[in-house]
Amino acid sequence: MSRYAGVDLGSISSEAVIVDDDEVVGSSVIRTRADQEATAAEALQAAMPPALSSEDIEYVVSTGYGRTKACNSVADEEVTEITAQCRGISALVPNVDLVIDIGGQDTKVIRHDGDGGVDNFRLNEKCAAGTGRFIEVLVDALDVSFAEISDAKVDDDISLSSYCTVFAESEVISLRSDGYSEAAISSAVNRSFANKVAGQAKPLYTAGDTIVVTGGMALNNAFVEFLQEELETELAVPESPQTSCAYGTALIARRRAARTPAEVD
Amino acid sequence: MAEGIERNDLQAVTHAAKEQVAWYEDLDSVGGPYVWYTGGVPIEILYAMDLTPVMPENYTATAATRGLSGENLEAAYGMGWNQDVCSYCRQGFGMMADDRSEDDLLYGGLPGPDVLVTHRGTCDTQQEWWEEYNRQLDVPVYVIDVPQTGSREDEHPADVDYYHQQLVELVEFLETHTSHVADERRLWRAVKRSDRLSELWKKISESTRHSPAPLTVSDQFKLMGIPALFAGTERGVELLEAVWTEVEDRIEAGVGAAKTEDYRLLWDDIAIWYDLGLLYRLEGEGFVFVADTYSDPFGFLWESHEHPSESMVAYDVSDPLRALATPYVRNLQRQWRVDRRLEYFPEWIDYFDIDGVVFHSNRSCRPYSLSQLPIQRELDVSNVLIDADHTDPHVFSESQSKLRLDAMKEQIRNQRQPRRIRS
Repeated sequence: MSRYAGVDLGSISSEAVIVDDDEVVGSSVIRTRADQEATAAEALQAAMPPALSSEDIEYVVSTGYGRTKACNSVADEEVTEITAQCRGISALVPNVDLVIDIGGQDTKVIRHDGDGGVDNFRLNEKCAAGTGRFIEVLVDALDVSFAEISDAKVDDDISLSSYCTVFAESEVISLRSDGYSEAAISSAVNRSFANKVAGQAKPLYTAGDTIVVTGGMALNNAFVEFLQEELETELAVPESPQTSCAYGTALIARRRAARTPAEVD
Repeated sequence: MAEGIERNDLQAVTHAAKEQVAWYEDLDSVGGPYVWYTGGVPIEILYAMDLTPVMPENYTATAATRGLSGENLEAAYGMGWNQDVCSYCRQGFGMMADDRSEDDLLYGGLPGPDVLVTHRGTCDTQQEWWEEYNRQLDVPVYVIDVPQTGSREDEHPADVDYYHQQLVELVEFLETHTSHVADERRLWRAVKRSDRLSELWKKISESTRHSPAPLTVSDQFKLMGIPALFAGTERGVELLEAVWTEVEDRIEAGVGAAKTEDYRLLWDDIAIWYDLGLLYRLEGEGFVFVADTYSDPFGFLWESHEHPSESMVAYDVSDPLRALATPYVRNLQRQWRVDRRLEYFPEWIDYFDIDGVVFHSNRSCRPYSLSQLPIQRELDVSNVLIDADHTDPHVFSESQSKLRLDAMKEQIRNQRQPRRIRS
């Protein structure tokens, strides 16, 4: 039985997924360290089932911001996370139209072409607004945990006026000193975040689309509910949103391993 | 070789680049009166009057290619300039900061202006920038007013009359403030050379319809200084004649500038001057930029003469200033008008056989970049938008841009087979 691996080196976390010809046999999520090559190797090792070693992996493809570095340690080739995420989500939800992937330092909206490939995509502009970094900074400012902010959704009229992460942090601190509750402020953070992400998605969105939200921020339930309200449609979240990109990368590895020499050339 | 990428460089392009450097290095010895001008001013008039034109936009773009724009911009920030102002303009002030010395500046800096000339045909920033120079340096300024047309269909004979009158007044202004006199024969010679230069530019630009492209956009960006700095001069014509000769030879021999041409790309907006390596890196992977919307307009004088507007009276060549007026009135807004860009973009996709488009969303140039969203919506080919600035490296994320470009490449590879044309 052949095995193939996908390694996703993100800015905050790194994931690996190992598949055989039929199914997933191992996966991992670890914190990304400064040494990306070592992180790639660690992620792959952490995903390895007990009976296997790296020699049993026929082909490895890497993705994420560290994808090129990963080719120095474990990967045979690289692909962008746009292609990988689309491949992964479309394998899990074949009728998906739009994928919203919220990572640590970027947010991607990807339109599926119906055949596992990318029809169109849109990334956030330069700043951290609408990315996982926005939530990270504000979680620190609020002194709450990710789990606590993920449940924060209240009907309240607080809103954050700033998209800029730095300005929003100042706002949050002001709101705290004005006596607003952590729950209310956390809810406002989630609402602001959803508003920004919805704005990014709308140019690629058509009414009736099947939309999947993935990436680490998809675990923030309150944010997903606010995003549903903004887009006025149900959103699906995969069982393991953190590893869907690595899963797509593993599927690509499986397909690329089967290429003939002429196809490779 | 360029930026570590193997390629077939054109000798004439390398020579033209060196000539531009030499021109700047000789500026002090050439002597004045020095006229600081903005792109789009008809410098044929300046050369005909034996004045020395100096173009700070070209200078600051060149500074960026040498990795020097960041320091100019930091100096501008230290003077209080807001980072949202166009980076050409900010560099234009930063280079004059009190604490900058000759050693800090490209070519040791520019000789100061004796007069300033700008126009209203391109952007408001140019006009306000020159007005601020006028105020700070106490140097006379002339602002050419340009009727808002930008297409043959919208022209009216009165537009050309008006612009012609602007040029007549410009000549009077220059004669008053420099004591140099306009001579009609010299003006005609300058206009005719400019006509020939733009004819050559158009042929060179369109030569990339051939596959493999004999030169690429990275070469054209290097050559842009020729029409920008030398329009109306024999020097400009000779430099482009040499390029055209080499291009013709390449077309006949089937030789391209890129070692491998797999896919053909179009670049939109001003160059990212501090990272021209981006073009070379893509070229090294077989993705070759064969057309761009920024350098193309220098072919406009020739285009106007070949295709006079049906709404115009018969083309008037009785007066060299009137001969300049029609093309300048017709084409200055061509780059910006949304309707014109929406019209020619799909034509170019077919004309140059384009597989993908890269839009540079240029922070400093909103007039140029605004129409990119409407254009993207109309395109059938793969396209990607990258956030950058033409000379401010502080607002550019190489990793963000690389991700977008890599994703576009994957899309294109998925959609079509590579051409695999090797040179």
